[in-house]
Order: sequence, then structure tokens, then C-alpha cells
Amino acid sequence: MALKRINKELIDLGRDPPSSCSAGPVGDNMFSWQATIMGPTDSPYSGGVFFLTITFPTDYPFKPPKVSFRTKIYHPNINANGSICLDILRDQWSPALTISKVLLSICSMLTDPNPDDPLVHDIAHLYKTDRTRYEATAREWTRKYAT
Amino acid sequence: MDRNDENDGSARIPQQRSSVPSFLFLIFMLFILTNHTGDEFLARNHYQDALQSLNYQLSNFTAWLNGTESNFTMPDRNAAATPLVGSFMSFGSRLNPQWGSYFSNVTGFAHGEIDFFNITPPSLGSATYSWRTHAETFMGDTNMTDLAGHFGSWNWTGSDKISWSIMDRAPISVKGVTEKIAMVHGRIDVRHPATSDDMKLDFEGVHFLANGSIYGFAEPTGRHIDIRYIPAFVPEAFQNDTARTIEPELMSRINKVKDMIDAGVIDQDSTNGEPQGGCGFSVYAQIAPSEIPAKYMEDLEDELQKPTGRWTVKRPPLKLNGVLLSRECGILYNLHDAEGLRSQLFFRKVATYAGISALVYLVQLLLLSRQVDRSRTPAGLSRVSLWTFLTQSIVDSVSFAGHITFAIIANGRPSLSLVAPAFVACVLFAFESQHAILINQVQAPEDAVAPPPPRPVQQEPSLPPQAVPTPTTAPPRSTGPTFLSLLFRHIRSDPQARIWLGMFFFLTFIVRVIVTPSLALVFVASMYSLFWLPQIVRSVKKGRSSALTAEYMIGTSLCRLFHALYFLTCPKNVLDVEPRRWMWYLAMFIFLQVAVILLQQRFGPAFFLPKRFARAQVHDYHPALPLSAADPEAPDESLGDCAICMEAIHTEDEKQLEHVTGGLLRNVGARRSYSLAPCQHLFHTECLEKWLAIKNICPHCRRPLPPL
Repeated sequence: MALKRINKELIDLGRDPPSSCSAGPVGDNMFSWQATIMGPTDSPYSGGVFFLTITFPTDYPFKPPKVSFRTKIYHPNINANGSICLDILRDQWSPALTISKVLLSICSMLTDPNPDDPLVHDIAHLYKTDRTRYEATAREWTRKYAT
Repeated sequence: MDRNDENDGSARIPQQRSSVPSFLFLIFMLFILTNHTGDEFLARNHYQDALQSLNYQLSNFTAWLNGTESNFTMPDRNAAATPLVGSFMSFGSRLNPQWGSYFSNVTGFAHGEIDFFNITPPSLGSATYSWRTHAETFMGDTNMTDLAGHFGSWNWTGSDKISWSIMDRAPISVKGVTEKIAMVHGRIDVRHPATSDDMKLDFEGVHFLANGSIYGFAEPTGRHIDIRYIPAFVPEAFQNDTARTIEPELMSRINKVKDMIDAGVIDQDSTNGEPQGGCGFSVYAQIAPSEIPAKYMEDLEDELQKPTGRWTVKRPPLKLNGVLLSRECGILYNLHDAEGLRSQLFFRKVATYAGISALVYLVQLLLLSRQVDRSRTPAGLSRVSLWTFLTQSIVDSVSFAGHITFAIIANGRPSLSLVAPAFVACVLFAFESQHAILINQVQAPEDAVAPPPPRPVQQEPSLPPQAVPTPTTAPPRSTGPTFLSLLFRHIRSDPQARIWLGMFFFLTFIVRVIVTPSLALVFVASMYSLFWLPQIVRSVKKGRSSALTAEYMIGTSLCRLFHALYFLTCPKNVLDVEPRRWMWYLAMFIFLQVAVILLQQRFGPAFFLPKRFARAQVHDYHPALPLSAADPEAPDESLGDCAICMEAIHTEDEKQLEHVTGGLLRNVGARRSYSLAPCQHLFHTECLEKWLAIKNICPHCRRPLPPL
């Protein structure tokens, strides 16, 4: 069932690709995907291209896929390992969610970080107290690692 | 992780807030734990005073014994006391050691009923008691106005029971004393049936081993008993021997107090030296003789003190008769056939209780784990009541605290066996509360009225930088809210403060339940009647019968009733709780509930309600969908895609089946390949079943779903 559904998602992604994101399997293994996200234009990440890896569990879609950033990014909810703190990837997962919806959620998270549930406390603190410095650093990192 | 929680403003509070209530709570706990250390200095002074007065007493007493001039004079004996007491009880005589004997040691507890007699001359007026003249002589010309002053608030006339704890020492051998005399001390609690408090009297006396008689004083706790006056109450023939025995006793007490002062051991209990009002009694008691020859009695005693397992004669019952006589209050209590329980036997009883109790808890643990195994899935968990497990865990936590408290405060090694049931109760409590938390997590979505907005496109509320709230830990401004309102707001908004507060009230509650007998009874009655009731209500409301097995319900009810019935219906339980009749009704009520649940499982959850009350709340997942609206002959007839597997939901199979069978199977579950959730979202039955095993919310809209 998992494979069937992943194939279905792949076809849907090809038929109706979401703007600013793309995703697809790396090799023959359909359970291991790679995705790219363009930095949203209204965010300090604009102009950057961020790579992510997606690993589907064997009981997908009943368990959420594992999604992580491979490109370094300066964000309160994403740590140095690329782990993402996003509720729909954890306990708020629903089988009605798809990879394209997940990627869209990550995009909106890039525009609007959630500093109250941070993964990196220093960045969250900076985001709350000194927004301009946060944006400058984020822009700097995007220029350095994502272009 | 739940972003949903953080969208309401309360959770944006900076984290350092939560440390304030924790800090206050810790300070409070420390205060509770340490607030009496300041009294230690006072207590030490008390000891010094006591030592001084004992020394003074001893020197006077020794001088009096030796016939030299001293401040101490033995009061004259009241000649009428002996005949007065003698008309209620008979003092024992020396027995032929071949034919009978007395218990040589009565350390333990005696319980018995007492009859009250008012022996003041006015109330004796017209009574025709045979002992009337003795009483009148005994009371003599007592001032009646003084009498009333002594009574205090205690209801002496209505008291009908006493419990007497006796500590019997080994007889002291003194040069020149042939009689075997043991010093006894202890405590006499006078009980009134209407109050939960007891009138506590301290007891000091002497025990004549040869004829099993006990003479002594009982004074309200706090009043000092002068043991030098005991010889004035014993029979004339024993007076000198008694006086000679008391001298070394005084000396040993002096040494004890000295040792305690030197060792720095300050016993808080012995220092509350506030004299209360009340009546002082002289106590006369007689141990009932047994027919066991003295030699065997000795064996019996040795075996009890140092058990070796060898054969002894059967233990005869220990019975006490006695009279408590108060001249200052004009009261006579007649104690008849009080039953004594030797403390070693009592501790053996406690150990037996502890063993059985631990076993019962183990059985409960086993039953619980089997039940949890069976209802592990969300579907199963949604069919059991949270409150059933919550009440059980509360009962177990109180039981744990009770057992451990008694294990610690009752000194003596045997009481430590109570740790065993306490431990198993604690484990049971942990399992039950864990299960309750699990149930709560599964059932929580039911309470959520509105589903959260669709997730993926949700915009996180953007926070303009100036909207970041300032930390509210700042000290209250003089113009701002008062301290109390700030504290109130703090407790409401801070989840950690709520936890601390809840814990505080819970602990206070548990402690109160353990120390207050009347509250404990209310607690038992209410909690025990709440075990299965919530389950019945839940089954009716949700229209689904429970997922509890008969084995679990009946087994748990029996095990739980063991404790309740033991303490509340067994007249000789270890805590000496009075039997209550209503406990039987409570037991019947519990089994009635179990029967209702079992019948619910058999005949439907609302079988006992009239039809119109039985709301059909059961959701039908497989209704006949209006397929005919589309072209019935269309080749690819689909009801849309299943959001879980993203495949189309076809109904062809059923349609074909219907063609073949001519609609006969329409009502026997042939439409089961699709499921329509109450929120009108359609899934494959197979897919939805798999998802509901993980979480029972709709994958689309996150509304809670009833079991499939």
C-alpha cells in the first residue's frame, strides 16, 4: 500500500507541481526522495535553493515521512543537523497529508518561523528581540550555503 | 511540539515565569518539614526541668522510705475504695501453680466496654445499688462545684469503650522484696461513640505477678503522674514492697532522662506539657486466671518473646476486668471482660495482613495488565471510561500512602512488612494512572468541539517585533494589579503552577484522608461506588458497550472489596475500626454495577433505559449512498478518492453483488468496502481501520471519530 501511494503522489506531483518546490525519488528506491525548496521571496531566504531528503516509513501514510534539510539554514525551527521542528511531521500527522502539502508547510514556516516552539533557542531569542540582525544572518547564510 | 497550543496568547509567556511557583512550593514544603526545629531548645529545657523534679522526688521518697524527715508523705488510703471496687470486680488470689496461673506479662492492647456510674452523692439519691453506702463513704464531703470544674468538654457520661495499651516491664528484683512486682505503664483511650476523638489518659501502675492484679493511676495526657503515690492504692500487705520497687524505678527514669539529654535525643511528643482539664482515675484491674499450670505458662511466654517454633499449650484468651475510679469527678467506670491482645500476636497479625494484602494487590496488578493488553488499541481505549481508572489510581495512591505511613510510624520491625503491600499498591497506582493518561490522550479529541483549521495551508500568526510580550515576572507595580490578582492570573496561565497547585491539594487531601477517620469513611464510600459507574454512563452516552472484560471487573471488584470489607466489617481488624453495616450495601452496589456493565455488553448499552431515552448515537459507517444519482450503468463509478491510499472508492463489487442476489444482501453488511465518517468524509473501510488503530480522528478534518 505504501509503495502504491508514494507512486500516486509522484504522479500527482508531476501533473500538478507546487510552485517553488519539487520532489522525487533519488534512485530506484521509491522510499527515499530528494526535494528542493526555493526560498520564499518575502523572507530572508529568498534567492536560496534548499535541498531536503525525504524518507518514507514502510507504513506510510499511517506514519509521517522523515524530512530534513541538507542545506545549512539559519532558522529557529531547524537545527544544524537539518532536523525540522514541525508538528505535522510528528504528532499532528494525518494520512490525508501529502508530500506536496508538507513542503508547502515548510515553505510557510520559512516565511513565518515559530519562535515559541524553537529547536535552536539562540536563533529564536534573536528572532524575538532583534529581528533585523536575525534577518541579516539568515540572508548571509542563504548567500553562503544556498546559492 | 503542538503548535496549536501556542497560538493562544497564554503560552507565549517567557519560560522563567514557571520557576516562581516551583520556588514558592519548595519553600512551602521546606517550611512544613522544618518548622518545628525551633522548639528543640524549649524541649531540652523541659527535660532539664523534668530531671530536676525527678531528682527532688527521689530524694524525698528515699528519705520517707528510710523513715527520716522529708517533704513527702504518703496520703491516707481511702478505706471505702476497696469495698467499692470489690463490689464490681474481685481481686485474684494466689493460685496453686499445678492448677492454674496468670499471664505474667500483659504487654499489648486491651479493648473493652465500660459502664458508666455516677457516684456523686446527689445522683445516687434514690438508687438502690448495693454499693451505695460504699460510694457515699468514698466520696465523703466532696465539694460538688469543684466536680463540675473538672469535667472539661469531654462527654464522660456517654463514653462506652476504652482501649488500653499496656507496656509491662520485667519485674525488678529489689533486695528485701519477696513479691514479684512489675512496673506497667501505657495509655488508656476513652471512647465516645459520637465523636471521632478519644480522651487520652496516661497510665502508670504496678502489676503483681502472683495474683494478676494491677493497680495504678490514669491521668489526662499532659498531667504529670507521680508514681510515688501508687503504694497508697495497693492492698496494705503489699504497700512496703511496692514502695521499695518504686524507688529503683524512679532512679532508672532519672538515668533515662539524663541519657536522653546527653544523647541530644529530643522526643517532641513528650514535651507538650500543657495540663488539660479532665478527670484523674485510680485504676484497679485483674487478669482473669487461666487453667494452665504455671510451668506451661512460662513456656508459652518464652515462646512468645523469643519464638523458636517448639510446641506449647494452646494460648488461653487474655481477659481483663477492672474499675476506673475518679474521686475528683465522681465517676466510676466498670470495665468487664476486656479482651487483651499481646503485642507480639498483634504484630504477627499485622504481618499476616500485610502478606495477604500484598498478594491481593499482585492479583489486581495481573488483572490490570491483562485488561490493558486487551484494550491497547485506540478503538479499545475509546470504549473504557477514564474515571474508572482514575478513581482506582486515587484509591491506590491513598492506600500506598496509608500503608507506608503505618509502616514507618508504628515502630517495631514487624510493621515494616506493610512496606510490601505499599510497594505493590504504588506500582498499581503507577500503571493505572499511566493507563488513565493513555485513555485521556485517546479520548481528548472528543472534547474538542471545533476542529482546527486545515493544517498545510495554515499561516502562522506573524509576530510583529513590538508585539512580543514583556516578561511578566517583573515585580508588581504599585499602580498595576494587586499581588493577589497577579498570583491568580499567574496560576491560571502557567501550566506548571497548576501542576504544583494540583499536587499540593492532592497531597493535602491524601494526608487528611489518612489522618481523619471520618473523612476516610466518606472517601471509601464515594470512591468505591465510583469504580464502574462512569463506565456505565460512558457506554450509554457513546452507545458502545465497554471493552472491559468480565474477568477484570469481577476480579478487581473482589480484590478491592477485600480491603474495604476487612477493615469495615471484620470486628477484629488490625486497625481496630468499628464494623459498619453499610459496607455490605456498598459491596452489593459495586456488584450491581458490574452486572449492569456485563448486561450492557450482552443486550446493548442502553438496555435498562426506556426506548425513548436510548438515543441512537451509534454512527453508521456504512449507509446506503445515493449512487443512483449518477448514471447506474456508468462503467467507472467512483465515490471519489480515499484520502489515505489515494485510490478511487468503487462500489462496483456491491452493485454486482446486489444484481446477483437481488438486493438480499443489502442489509447484511455487504456495503462495507467504504466508510462514511460522521463528518461526511469517505474512506476505504480497510484504510480507515488502519488509521483508527493509530489515532481516532478524521484524517481530513481532525474531528474525533467513533469506533468503527
